[in-house]
Amino acid sequence: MRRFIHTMRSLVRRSFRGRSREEFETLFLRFRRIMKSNTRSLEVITEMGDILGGDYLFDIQYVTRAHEGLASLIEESLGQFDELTGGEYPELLGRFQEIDSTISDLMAGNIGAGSALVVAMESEGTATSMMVGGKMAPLIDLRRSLRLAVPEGFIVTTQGFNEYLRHNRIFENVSLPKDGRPLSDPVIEELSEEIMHGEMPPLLHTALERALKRFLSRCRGACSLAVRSSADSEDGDHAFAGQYRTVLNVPPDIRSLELAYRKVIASLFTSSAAVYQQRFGYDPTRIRMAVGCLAMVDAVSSGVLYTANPAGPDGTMAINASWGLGTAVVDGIVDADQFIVDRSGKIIDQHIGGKAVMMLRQSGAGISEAPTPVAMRNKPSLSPEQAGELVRAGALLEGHFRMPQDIEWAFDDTGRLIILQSRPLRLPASPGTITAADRKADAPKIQFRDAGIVVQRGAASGPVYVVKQDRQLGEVPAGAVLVVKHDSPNLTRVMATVAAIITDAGSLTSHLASLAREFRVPTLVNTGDASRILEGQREVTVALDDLPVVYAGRVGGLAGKGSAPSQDVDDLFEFRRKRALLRYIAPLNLVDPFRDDFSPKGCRTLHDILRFMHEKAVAALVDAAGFGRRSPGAVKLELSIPAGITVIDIGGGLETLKNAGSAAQEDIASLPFKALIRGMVYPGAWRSEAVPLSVNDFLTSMFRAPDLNAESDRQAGANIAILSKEYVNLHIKFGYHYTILDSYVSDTPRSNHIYFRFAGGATDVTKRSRRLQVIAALLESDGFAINTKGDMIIARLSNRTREDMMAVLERVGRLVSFTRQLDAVLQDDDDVTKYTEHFLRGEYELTDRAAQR
Amino acid sequence: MDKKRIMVIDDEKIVGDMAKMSLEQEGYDVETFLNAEPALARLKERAFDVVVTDYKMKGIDGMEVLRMVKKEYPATTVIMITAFANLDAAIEALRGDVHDFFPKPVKIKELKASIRRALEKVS
Repeated sequence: MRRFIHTMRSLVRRSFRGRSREEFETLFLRFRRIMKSNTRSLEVITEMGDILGGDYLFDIQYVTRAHEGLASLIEESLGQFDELTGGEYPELLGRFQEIDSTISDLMAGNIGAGSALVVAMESEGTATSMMVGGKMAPLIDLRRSLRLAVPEGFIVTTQGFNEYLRHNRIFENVSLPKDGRPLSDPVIEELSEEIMHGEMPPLLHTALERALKRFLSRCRGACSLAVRSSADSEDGDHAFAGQYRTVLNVPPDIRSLELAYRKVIASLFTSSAAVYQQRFGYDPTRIRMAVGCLAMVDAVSSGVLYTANPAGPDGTMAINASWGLGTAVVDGIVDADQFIVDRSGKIIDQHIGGKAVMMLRQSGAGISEAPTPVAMRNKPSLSPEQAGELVRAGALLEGHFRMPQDIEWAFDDTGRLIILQSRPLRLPASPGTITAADRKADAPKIQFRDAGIVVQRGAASGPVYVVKQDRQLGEVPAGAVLVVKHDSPNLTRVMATVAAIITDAGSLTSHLASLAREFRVPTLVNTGDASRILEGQREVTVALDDLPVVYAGRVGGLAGKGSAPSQDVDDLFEFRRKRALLRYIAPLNLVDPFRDDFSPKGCRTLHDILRFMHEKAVAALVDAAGFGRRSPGAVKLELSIPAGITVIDIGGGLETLKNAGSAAQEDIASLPFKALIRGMVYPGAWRSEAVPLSVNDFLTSMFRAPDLNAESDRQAGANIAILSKEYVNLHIKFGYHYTILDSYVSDTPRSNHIYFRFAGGATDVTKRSRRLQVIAALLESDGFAINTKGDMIIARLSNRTREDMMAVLERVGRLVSFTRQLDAVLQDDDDVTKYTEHFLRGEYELTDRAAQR
Repeated sequence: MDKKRIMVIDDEKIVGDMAKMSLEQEGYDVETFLNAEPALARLKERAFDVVVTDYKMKGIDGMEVLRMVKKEYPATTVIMITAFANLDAAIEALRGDVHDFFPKPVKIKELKASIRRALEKVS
């Protein structure tokens, strides 16, 4: 590398005239340093993604070391960046330090970020999930970023919670078990009691009074509050669906509010917490709970939207809706309406439920169940226009959070859509299959009034246990098939031990459904009358898949078939907390340099910081080169393919140009670049139409941006090649993968080299890794030394003759074009071999088998 | 046939939790401990086929665990994992008749394979 820099220097010196020569030389070296440490940083991020991905046992030391290494690389880069851009982005360092200290706080288990005890929903300041909890942080975010309506109100922060614990010495008064053993029931009860009877800390009391006063001055109507938990668990408290308490319709006076607050935070300590602790290593004493105090929405209709439909078809969304408050749907109390809607907002299937009851706000406090007026029962609770509006909001949220979402929503009495909650959607674990042979055609089947909805597939046998009241739950034997009328948060207690669950009412989107998927218990809901039909039945076998069947008695061979695998490390509490660090490291939010939030302030992760630096470093270099005919000058390269490359010639890289500001393929004089471009434009290698991404690719895009095609053309301007007669340094980004190529080609084989790096992609990790396999195989066949790390590949080749180098570069050029969208069509491992062979034969056609199916 | 029994000792909860869940998927019966004292006491009550232990721990460390297990329960296989991947520790451990030695982070697949090999060797 040193030899190379030396060569570069002499080249730059020879070719530049005038004052800017020395300057440009220095800037280019800074640019290279930034790119080098950014490459290294991305390697570390990729490696952390791998190690924290669930396939490794790791400890805190690993995480600490990796983070420290990463932070110091980025700091180094930031120093160079500041020099390169002449201090144009002074806020970037501050932003980096903020993100970095959040990571350090998380690592140390501190609740960092802020000392405010109460913050307003409309606050424009920082509101991380560590501060306002996993349920409220997305709400604040979506109000700000997407301008969607959310309820007004305020949040008691995790710091407020800490203050309550500290003031009342909660953990000091109760003796907690040591050595990570789960809390016993008496201890749980004691903690809950201590919290309920604690005194409001004066500071918190004053802050609440102030917030309440402000809220009352802004609200209209009854102004009552919904007081909801928002734990700091980084997964948007998804793992604990419906476990913590929500107190609805709280009168807006300080006494009622403080009582509701206590009830909500005390719900950290319930017997279901112990179940979670046993099963997932969840530790309730480590949760810090923020509490949202939001205006009660006078909902005309409400319910839940899943932006991905777990029951298929692909690309549709599922809505459950009912009249009145959403509790009716999430608690599975009513036979709700179900709408299956495509992404354009068109309803493609619907089931209008009976909706015999609805939940309403009582005039004083609390809510109550009331019979639905007969005329409304069989009327859809959502108009087609409303369904369309909801789906559009869902698509926005999904795009914004880069994951399918589970959204609670309401339409108020003015017809306005209000988002009450948006959290990552947990899709059912993929099960094995139940074959026709497993089923016994002659076994007696049990018929229910309705077919029911399968929320978790699988088969199981067991004695029937019908529960009519929650207090019977303590008597449910392990291995029983639990039959209930509808959902109850108390069901968590038996979730880990029952064989299967069948309910009368309920929907795909209820809390029970979330829990069943989490515990992977085969579950059938909304059968209408299972609790009546199965009363007196001794034993049943359920076989739940596309054709759900319940057999009387035990059907041999079926039990366990088609069941999802048991839990894995993904469900572990400590693991999730550690992996949560990645949220501040790996995701890329800054994808579109033309958007306003492409700024230091818009950086939310370390990856964003790197991305911002990359983009602006390239721009600074182009700027420094200046546009025009004079060298060094930046010009647009016009090719037969829309590769969008800007070229900076630092000496002999281009012929004398006919037009200022643009160069054509035949103007390229740089040896390595000429060969590379010849390959890139090779007929057929560049596919111009987009290969569509499958839904699965989209679903796995949590750490990635979802849309491969939308930005490709606008993005293209950021592709840059720095040229001399014998040298090219190329940075290109197509969709979501980056390629860096650095090559020197002369008559001295000893000096010749190619460095090639390829990273990223928008498809799921399997497909991306298949693409890497193709690339690796092809480069290897040309004699490259290959090094792969996660989804990054680094290849080196040196010491070849000029002719060899040119031939290899031409093939690399074809490879760059060919593999641009290759990942989207690599459906299985055979495709790896297939496309590798195709390429070697000079066939570049990509056929999308998935789309043909 | 009875489930094979595996003990995991590591002073970081996350390591034990992850090991337990991954190894239970393979059908093993797994118990985890945050330090060696209660683990050794447990060994007196029940036999384990494999002990996976951290190398560096407060109190009784991994080498000590290895020595005691080999002395008292020669049929039990010991696998060592450590954050301090240094050669000396590895050599010392290998001399002490450790079945395998992994620097952390440990690829779970490799740990599973090592346990499988250990159990095959015994049976």
